[in-house]
Amino acid sequence: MATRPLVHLWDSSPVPPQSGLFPLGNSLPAVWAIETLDPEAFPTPFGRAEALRLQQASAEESKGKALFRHFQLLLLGVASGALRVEPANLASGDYDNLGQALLQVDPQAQYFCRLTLASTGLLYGVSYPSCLVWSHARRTDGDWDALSRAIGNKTEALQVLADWRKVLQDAGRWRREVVVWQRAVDVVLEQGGAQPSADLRSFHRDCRLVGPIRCELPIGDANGTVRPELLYLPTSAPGFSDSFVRLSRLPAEVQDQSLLFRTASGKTAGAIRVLPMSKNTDEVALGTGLVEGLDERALAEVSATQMLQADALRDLLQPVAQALGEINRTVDRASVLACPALYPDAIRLWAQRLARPAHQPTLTRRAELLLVESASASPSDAEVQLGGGLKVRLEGSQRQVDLLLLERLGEIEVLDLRALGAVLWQVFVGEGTLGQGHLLGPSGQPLLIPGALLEPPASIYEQVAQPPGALRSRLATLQRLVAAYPDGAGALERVLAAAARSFARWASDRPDIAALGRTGGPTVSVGLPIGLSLPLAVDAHAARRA
Amino acid sequence: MTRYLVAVGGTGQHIALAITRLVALGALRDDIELIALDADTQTPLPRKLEHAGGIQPHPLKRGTVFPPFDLNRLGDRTFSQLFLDPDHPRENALFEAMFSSGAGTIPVSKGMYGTPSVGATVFADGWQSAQLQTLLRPLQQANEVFFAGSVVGGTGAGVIHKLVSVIRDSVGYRGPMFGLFFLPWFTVAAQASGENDITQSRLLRNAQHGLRYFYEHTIPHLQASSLLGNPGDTSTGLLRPVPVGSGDMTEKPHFLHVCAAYSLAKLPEAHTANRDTRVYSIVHDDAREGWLLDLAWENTRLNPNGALSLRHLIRAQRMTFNLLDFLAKCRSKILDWYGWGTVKQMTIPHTWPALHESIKNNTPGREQWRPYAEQVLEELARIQGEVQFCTQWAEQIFSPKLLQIPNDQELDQLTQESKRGAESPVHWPFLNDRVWRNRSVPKSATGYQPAAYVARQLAHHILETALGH
Repeated sequence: MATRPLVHLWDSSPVPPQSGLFPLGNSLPAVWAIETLDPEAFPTPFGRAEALRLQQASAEESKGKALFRHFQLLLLGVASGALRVEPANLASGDYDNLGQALLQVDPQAQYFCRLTLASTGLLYGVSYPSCLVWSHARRTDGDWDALSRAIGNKTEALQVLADWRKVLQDAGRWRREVVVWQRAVDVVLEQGGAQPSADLRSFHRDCRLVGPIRCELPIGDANGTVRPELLYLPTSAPGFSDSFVRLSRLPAEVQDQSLLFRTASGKTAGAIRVLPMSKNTDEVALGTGLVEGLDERALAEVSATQMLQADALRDLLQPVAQALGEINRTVDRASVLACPALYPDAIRLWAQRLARPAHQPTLTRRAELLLVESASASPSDAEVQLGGGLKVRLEGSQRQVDLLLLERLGEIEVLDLRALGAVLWQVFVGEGTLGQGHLLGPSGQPLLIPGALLEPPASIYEQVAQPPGALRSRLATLQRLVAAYPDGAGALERVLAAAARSFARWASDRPDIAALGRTGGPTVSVGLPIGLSLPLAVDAHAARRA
Repeated sequence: MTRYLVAVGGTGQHIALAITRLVALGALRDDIELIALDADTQTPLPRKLEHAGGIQPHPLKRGTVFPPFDLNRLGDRTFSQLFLDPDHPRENALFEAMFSSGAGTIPVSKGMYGTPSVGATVFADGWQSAQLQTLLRPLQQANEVFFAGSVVGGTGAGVIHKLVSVIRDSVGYRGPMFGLFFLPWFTVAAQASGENDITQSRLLRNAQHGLRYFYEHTIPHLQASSLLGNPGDTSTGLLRPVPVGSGDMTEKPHFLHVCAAYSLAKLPEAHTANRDTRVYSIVHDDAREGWLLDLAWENTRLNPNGALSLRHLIRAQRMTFNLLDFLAKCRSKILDWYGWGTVKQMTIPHTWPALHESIKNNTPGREQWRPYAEQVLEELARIQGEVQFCTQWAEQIFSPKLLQIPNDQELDQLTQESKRGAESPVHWPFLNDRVWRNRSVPKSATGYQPAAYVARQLAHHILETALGH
C-alpha cells in the first residue's frame, strides 16, 4: 500500500493515490464507533446523558446495558410513583458554580427535574432534553435493587405509560425514528407488553402528571421537526381525576405560591402550585399548575352535592394559564384536550372534567355535575333523545341559548324535565307563588335557581328522585297539568309540555297519562335570564281556593 | 489578514511549536497570532513554546501559554473541591450524580488526566475569567481562526468544543473557523498505577467518544477540519510510534505536526473549492515520504514567489546553521586576533574581511574591536540557536537524508568539511566569496550600529545566500 490516510484504525476504504488533503466525509466512519461507552470520556459534563442517548438510538440492542436498564427503572419509578420528580433551576440559589458551568455548556439544561426515591429522598436520576432522564453515576447495584423493589408490580406503571404514549401519538408528538428517548420508551413498553387502556382511562382517570421535563419533542408537523419542550410524565394514581373533581368543590385560597383547598372542618384537602409570574423565570418549568398533596381522608368530607367551583377555579388558575401562554401553550379546552400531556394537572383536569365545551348546548348545573362526576362526554343528540331528554333553542330578547334538558343518560338519572315539571306542578296547584319577580315555594324558597335557565334547586331534584307517594292519588289534577301545557311549535312550549308530561308520568306512575280536563285557567308569568317570559298555568281549582 | 491559532492542551502546543518553526523557516506567512491554553503552564512544553528558541519577535507574536481558567481560584484543589461546598447540598448531589468519585479526585490545576468531561466542566466554570476574556477579545478582528488540539486527552478534548462556541457566540467572531484535531498520535509507555493515570486504552476510549461528539456537535460550527493520527503499528521513516513516559512533558517532534501545519495552509483553499466537505485527513505516500518537503507552501517574505519547496527552505536554514556553527568554532581564533595588539594585526592578516570591516566601521578605535567582536559573535551564537530551533526539529522529524537535495554539492561539502572545525578549508572562502562578498555593515547616518545589528545583518546575508536570493 503506497498511500494511506494519517488516521488510526482506518479500514480498507479506497484512498487516493496522491498524497495531500483527503476528504473523510461529514459523518463518523464506522471504524471509529464507540466500543464501550464511558460517560466521562465525552467532552461534556452531560456525558451520562450523551452516553444514554447513544444507547437509546439503538434501544433494541441496548436492553441489557447498564445505562439503559437504569433508564428503564427511572421511567418505571416515575410511572409507579416510587420516584418523586422535583423541578429545579440551575440559576436558582440552590446551585452555585457548577450550576453556572452547566448553564454555559447547555442553556437548555437550566430547568431540569431531580428524580428522588419517594421514601428516602435519595437522588437517582436527572432529566435532560436528549434522553429524557439519565441515571446517577454513583448509585450501586444495591440502590437499583431498592428502586426495583419500590416499584413493585409494574403493571399499573406500564399501563399509564402506554396511555401517555398514546396521548402523544394521537397528537402527532411521537416520532420514534427521530426522537431517541421515544424509541427507548417504546422498547420498555414492548418488553412489558403494555397496551393502552380502553378510552385511555388509565391516563384520564387514574394518572397524575409530574415534572415537567424539558425534552426533545416532535412539534407535530409533517417534517418531523423536533425541539425541546416541556412535557409532563405520568404517575399512576388511581382515582386521581375524581379526587381533583372533589377538590374543585372546595373553596380555594391563595397561600404561599399555592392554591389551598380546605374542607368545612378546616382540613387541607389538597393544593395547586400557582407560581407568581416573574420576568426571568419559567414558571411552567418549575411546576406551576401541578396538583399536590391530595388528602383522600379530607376529600372524603366533600359532599357530592357541593357545587363545583369550576368558574372560580378557572379564575384562580389565571397565572398558570398566563405562564403557559408565555411558552406558547394555548389554554382552551380544545387545545388542552388535543394533547393533555403538555399541560399541568390543574389545567388538564379542569379542561377534561370541569370546562364546558365551547359551542355546546347549555346544560343544567345538575346535569353538568353528574357528567363531570362520571367523566362522561357531552351526550349526542341521539343519546339525549333515547334518554327522554330534549334539546331546544330558546330565543330571548337578550340572547339565544341552546338548552339541553336531560332525563337519563345511560345509567345516570338526571331528571331535568321531571324536576322542571315539579315546579310547574307547584305553581299549578297553588303551592308556588310569584314574589318579587321570582317563583317561590311554600316556605319561600326559590323554585328556579336565580340566574339559571329553567333549573330548579337540588332539593327539587332530590324530591323527584324519590317515589311519588301521595301524588298518585291526584290523577285528575295531573291530567289537567298535562292538558295545561300542550305541545306546540314554540321551543318554550315544547319544553314546558315535556316537563309537565314527565312529572305527571312519574307522579301518576302511568307512562301513558292523558291530557284531560278544562284548560284556559289563569297564568302567572316569570322572567328568564335570556329576556324571555315564562308563562305558567294555574289550575282553576287552585285559583278558586286562592 | 490576521490568522489566529488557538492551541489547546499538549497536542495544541505541539502543533503551535511546529507552526512557529514553519513560520520562521518561511514556509508559512507570518500573519499568524497564537492563543495557547493549557492547565499547567510551567512544564517544559509551554516554556519551549514561549521561548521559541529565542527568536525575537516570536514568530506567532507571542508564545505565552495561559490557563483556560483562573488558576488562582483553582489553587491546588481537586475537581470535586472546586464545586462542592456545604452551602449547596443540591449542587453537591448533582455533582455526584454526574461524576464518578475517581474523577472528583483529579487535581485540575495540574491537568485533566485524560478525562474530557472534567476538562469540559472546569473550562465551562472558568472560561469567563477576566484574563481569558482579554485574551480572546482580539479574535473579533481575525480573518480566520484555527483550533489546534486533540480529541484524545483531557484538556484539549474537554475544552475545544466549548471554546469553539464561546468564540462564535460570546466573543462574536463571525469569520471562518477551522480545526486541526489530533487522534491518538503517541503511545503511553507506562502501565497505569492510579485510577486517574492515562493509559493507552484510555486514549483510544477518549478518541472514540471525542470523535463521536466532534462529528455531532463541533462540525456544524467549523468550516472544515483535519483529523490526524498515528495510522497504525507499521513504522516508516517518518511514521513511527512516539512513546511518552508518565509525567513526560517534553516536546515530541513528529511528522503529524508538520501535517497539521500544512492543513492550516490548505484547509481554507479546500473549503473554498468544496464547501460541502467538512472533515479531511491527509494521505501519506509511504513510497515517497518526503512529499510534504517537495511542496511549496505559502508565499512568504523568505519565499515571495512561492518558488521554494519546504525542503529548500529547510536546506537554507541548515546551511545557515552550518556557517554560523563554523563562526562559533572560529570564535577563539577571531578574538585572539583582536587581542594580539596592533603590530601583529598589521603583520598577520585576518581572513574575515566583511566581518572585520563591519567591526571597524562601527567602533571608534582599535581598542574597541575586541569587545565589539565578542558581542557580534555572541549575537551570532544566539542566531545560531534560533536557527537550530528549527533545523534540529526538522532533522528529528525528517532525518538529514530525507532533507537532502540531490546533488547538493555546496551543502554536502560544507557539512563534510565542518568536521574539521575552525580548520575547514571551505568555509571562509564560502563566507567571503559567496555570502558577504565584501558587503560590510556600514555605520548609520546617526552613528555606530550596535553589535547585535551587525551580527543580524551578516547572518541575514548568509540566509539570503542559502536561499539563493
